[in-house]
Amino acid sequence: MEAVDEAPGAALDEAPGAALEVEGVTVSFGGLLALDEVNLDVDARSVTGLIGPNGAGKTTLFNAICGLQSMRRGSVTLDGKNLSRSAPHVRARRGLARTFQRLEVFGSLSVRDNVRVAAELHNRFSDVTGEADATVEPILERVGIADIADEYVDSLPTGIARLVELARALATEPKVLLLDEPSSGLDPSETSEMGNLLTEISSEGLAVLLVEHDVGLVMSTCQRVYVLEFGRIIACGTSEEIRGNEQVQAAYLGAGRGD
Amino acid sequence: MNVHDFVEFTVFGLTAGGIFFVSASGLVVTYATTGVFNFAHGAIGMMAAFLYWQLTVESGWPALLVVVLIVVVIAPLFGLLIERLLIRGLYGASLATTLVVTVGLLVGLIGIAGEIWEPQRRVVSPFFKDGGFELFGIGFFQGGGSDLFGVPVTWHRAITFFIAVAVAVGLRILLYNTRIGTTMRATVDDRDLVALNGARPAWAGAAAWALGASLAALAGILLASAFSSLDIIVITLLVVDAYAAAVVGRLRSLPMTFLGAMILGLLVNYTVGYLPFAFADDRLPRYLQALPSAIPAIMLFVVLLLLPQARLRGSRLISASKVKVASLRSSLLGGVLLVAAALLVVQFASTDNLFELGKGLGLALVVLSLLPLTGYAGQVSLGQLAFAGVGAWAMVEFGDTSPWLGLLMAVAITAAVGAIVSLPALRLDGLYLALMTLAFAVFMEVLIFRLESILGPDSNLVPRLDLPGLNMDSQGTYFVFMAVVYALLAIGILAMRRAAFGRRLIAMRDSPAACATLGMSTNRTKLLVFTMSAAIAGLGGAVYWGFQGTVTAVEFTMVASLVVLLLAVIGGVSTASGALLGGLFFAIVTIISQEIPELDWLPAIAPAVVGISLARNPDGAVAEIAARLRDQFLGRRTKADGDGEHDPLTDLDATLPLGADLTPVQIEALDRELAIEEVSVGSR
Ligand SMILES: Nc1ncnc2c1ncn2[C@@H]1O[C@H](COP(=O)(O)OP(=O)(O)OP(=O)(O)O)[C@@H](O)[C@H]1O
Ligand SMILES: [Mg+2]
Repeated sequence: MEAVDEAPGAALDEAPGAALEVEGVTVSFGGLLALDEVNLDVDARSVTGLIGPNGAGKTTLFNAICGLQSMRRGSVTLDGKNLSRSAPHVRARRGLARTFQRLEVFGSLSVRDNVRVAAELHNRFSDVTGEADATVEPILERVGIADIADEYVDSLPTGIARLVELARALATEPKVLLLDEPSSGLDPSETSEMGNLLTEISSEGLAVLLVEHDVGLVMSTCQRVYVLEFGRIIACGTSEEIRGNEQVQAAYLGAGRGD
Repeated sequence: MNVHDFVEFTVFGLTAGGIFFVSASGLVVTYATTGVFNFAHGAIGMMAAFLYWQLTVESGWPALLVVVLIVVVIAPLFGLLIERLLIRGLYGASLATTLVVTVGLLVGLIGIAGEIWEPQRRVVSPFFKDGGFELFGIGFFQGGGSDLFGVPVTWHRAITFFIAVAVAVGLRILLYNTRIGTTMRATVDDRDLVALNGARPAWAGAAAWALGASLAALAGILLASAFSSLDIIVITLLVVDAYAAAVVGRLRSLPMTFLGAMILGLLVNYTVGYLPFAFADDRLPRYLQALPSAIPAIMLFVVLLLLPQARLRGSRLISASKVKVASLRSSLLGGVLLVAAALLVVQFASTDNLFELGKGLGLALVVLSLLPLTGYAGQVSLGQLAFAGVGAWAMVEFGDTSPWLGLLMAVAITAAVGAIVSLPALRLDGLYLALMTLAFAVFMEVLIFRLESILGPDSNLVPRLDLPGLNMDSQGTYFVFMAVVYALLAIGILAMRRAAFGRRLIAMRDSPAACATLGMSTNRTKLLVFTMSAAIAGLGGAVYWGFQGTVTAVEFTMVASLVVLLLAVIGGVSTASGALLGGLFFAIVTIISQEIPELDWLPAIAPAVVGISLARNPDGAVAEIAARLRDQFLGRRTKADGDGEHDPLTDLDATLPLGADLTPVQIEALDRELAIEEVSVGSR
């Protein structure tokens, strides 16, 4: 249970290790230790959950993984390649993609252009419009935003803008996808659609790391769940194991989300 | 070369360093507290110096009284006024917007000062001008006063240095040992958090601007007596010196700023002192005589190279521009209309007016270079006219052989220079790029353009392009030719905007962090767009000064470069027609000032005033007017749909994490959610 040091359950996969391996990641802001020796594996073909109370360090971990936040110690390995010293855009080109909790959409571009920018960056073709559309349109359909493809993202409600970020991330055809609270701002039916989508894309081979406050979504989609509190991983296990874990319940009650 | 000289240069250097620090500390305090970099800092110092001259020399008031009046009363009030009227609305706004406001203020203050204090010789005497004491001779080191150290240290120098130390100590105490100081330090990183904790960022911001203006004024007054005659521009350039010092402390750290100021002061004075010795018979070559005044710019370049990569910024909440991108059809149509209009103008305008309109059109070509850079990529350059100057020079230099070669070289050389200038700033926040380009403009103005081998003191003939079958020597023909060049450039830039690279620029402006996580090298993208923008400015310069026929070094001042940015904002920095409108605005203002002598101040002040007032509208005058017309005729607001669904709290949820810039509506929602009002009422 407290199986931080448990052997990664990747034995079933043909790949030797997990798609994303995070080892000993430590980040501090001035005196505050935001992440303390965090270890975590994300396997291909699965959705891994990362939960924890507000301020636990989930977003900071995402930032450290994708290179936006420098770490004091630790390593980030993607598909066996150590990327700890790489710039964010290099990590992205190696197959890492993410969405942001605090929206980072391209507000003055249309939904389609948001996704197209990502596709163009990925394929490195300068401007073969047809080719871009061939990648972009199916993704818009899949995420369910094809009908608003021509709207400026700035004018969309938050929940929908999150879908744009998801579509944009998918357009880079990543191996590992980090999602930071993708369901906030979505209504229950949209949330369950989101769950289905995540299950579907992970079954196609993607490794998904999901930060969520919606416990239902985590329980229904994640094969494995890590629990972060005050910058430490305090538990790791299957959804059921985590649900029954007293330490986890205490952490949540103690830091109460207040809603 | 002896010890006496060394001590002398060192004393001078430390004094200068003291003034740099007083000035730089003001810059740091305002920037660190409000996140708005005050480009008008030096101009405030300049106004104070002139006012000091006015009151002491002209009105004969006692110096001490005037110093206190200006530094303690007038300058802080002026700072408060600026903060209240111009700055407060800018918190969380885009870099381009905040830059335009303080740059506009800078240009406006220079214009106003020029109106009030017409050029004449103005001398300010140092404090205690008859008194002096020997360093190490009296009191300091008993018996150490050999003639080796017999450097006269005037009271003025001593006082200057001690004031600098006192300011350093005072600021340290203020920022670390008082409540308001703590708030001021905390404000810029986490405005929203400070707000949550019940402190008042608005209050802290106002205090910081009052303090900053006061320090600027103090620096200006201290500096005033160093010159044989007060000069508006020279004192204003103090800001460049100051930020070279402040950048050593990353615009945050006061101790590092102190260090930077002292290094800068010593560097400048050692250069002044020792440079002549480096040459036989003290014959300092002409081209190096201005080197000391270029040292701050050079130092800035070096320091920027040494600074580590900055964290990538996320998006800002202030909404981005939503100008529709012109389609190929409409940009072609626009081009045809422009050329047709040019043909008409040539038919009807008087020779004089045609000349002014042509200069406006030429200027518009330079302004257009900001469309990809500022309009699309959100980066700001304050040195576009300097690039244009490089282009004009290339035309002079290589155009003799063939004007086409000249044009080619104008584009190639400015592109290369642009790449070099932007290089040290690419890894850093956009503000540093702006600083670098301003330093570049100053460097070119004081050191390069004046060189005998570049433009020299006299005017140079600029060749015009030749086209078969056209008489390009005719003003009218060349005018239409410039319109064609503008149309082609605009069509080209718009095509670029609709292509992948253009989308990438917009994306980078909206969220550099997201771009990086999608695989974009933002450094490379910035380098490309900056190089492209410099090249366009160079091309514009080559064509513009061809119209004028001659070019002189004095045309490429830093202030003129700043005006280019203001004109871009006035016309609309994100549209292809905006640059044209900006250029024409300047031409028309000039024509009016020529027709009506009472309005001769207009060209110096109007761009600043209009620029500042339009700064908050990213789309500029064209969009503003178009929107008004649409409202008028269609009877509805243009930007209504979609907005109604926004729930401030849902938005808040997405934006709560640290560093988010909250809008007032969101802060209110947040307050309600967290019942802040009740808490603070209860605790009082
Ligand atoms: N840039 C920063 N500077 C200083 N402290 C920070 C910074 N970013 C995050 N922190 C702190 O680090 C800790 C972790 O924050 P983080 O945003 O990673 O938490 P989180 O788990 O994502 O929380 P939430 O559920 O609210 O999104 C918090 O205490 C936060 O205050
Ligand atoms: Mg978070």
